[in-house]
Amino acid sequence: MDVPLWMLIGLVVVAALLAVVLLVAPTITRTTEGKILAFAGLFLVPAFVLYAGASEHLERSKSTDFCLSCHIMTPYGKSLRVNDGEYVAAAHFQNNRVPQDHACYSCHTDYALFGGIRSKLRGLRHVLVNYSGTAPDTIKLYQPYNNRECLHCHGAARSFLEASAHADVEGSIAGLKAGTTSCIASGCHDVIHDVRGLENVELWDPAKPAETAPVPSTAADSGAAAPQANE
Amino acid sequence: MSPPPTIMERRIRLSALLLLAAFAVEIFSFLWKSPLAFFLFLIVGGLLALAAMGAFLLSLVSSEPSGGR
Repeated sequence: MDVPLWMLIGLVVVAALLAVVLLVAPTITRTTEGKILAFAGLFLVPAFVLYAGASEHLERSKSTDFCLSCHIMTPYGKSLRVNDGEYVAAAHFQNNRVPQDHACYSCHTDYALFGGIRSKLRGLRHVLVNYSGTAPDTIKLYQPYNNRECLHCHGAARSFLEASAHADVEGSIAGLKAGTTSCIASGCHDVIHDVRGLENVELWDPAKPAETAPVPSTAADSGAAAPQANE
Repeated sequence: MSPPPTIMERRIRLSALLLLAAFAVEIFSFLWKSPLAFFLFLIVGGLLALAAMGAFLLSLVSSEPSGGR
């Protein structure tokens, strides 16, 4: 559910006014209409506010800013600005193959707060760990990266299906779709964030586009770009 | 002189009070741009709101010790 923030706050204010009425004059519940008002004001509306508020917070957690607000994620944010098309994450981010304001979520749909109940509990633990100061030096995915995240966009793309690296090797596409061949761990698209090697790389500065050559599209190299990408 | 509030009315008042506290916390969490805002909403605001709803539901089954309405 995508309720604008101002509307959500307005709803909370209206619900609060109802609560104030019941706080000041609880005797109105002696009538049938008063009982209905109390049921709406103290149960139905708060339940809806809780649902809408939780949706708002979950939606907010999908933003790139939310992910990068944790200190440990800083190098991952930096890796999105590497001026090198070999960096898969950077090429996707800079060429807008993923929405820049939801970049993390677009490729990690089942990670931490983004996934099911178990993932959400992990996500809450991540927030606690971030503030308790016991975050590990190296962070890693809980499970190997799922090809599904790549094929969600690339799977039906002509550029993917006809790329020689995919089409000329028998069973290649079937293996990728079945998950028996990894997109990122089979030596083809293996530079993702590479946060250990960020010290000496050139970064893209969108405010000074003339100073850095554009990141080359990986589409030409690998045939792996989504045709609907906004480049 | 108005009659004293019944148990139901006292619980409704308590429910409204808890709910107002929950709403204050929730509005603050909406405006606070921090991952902790989610915690604030879920744990503090959520528990206060659930307690308020619980108090309201409890008021529905409340009965006066004697001569209650």
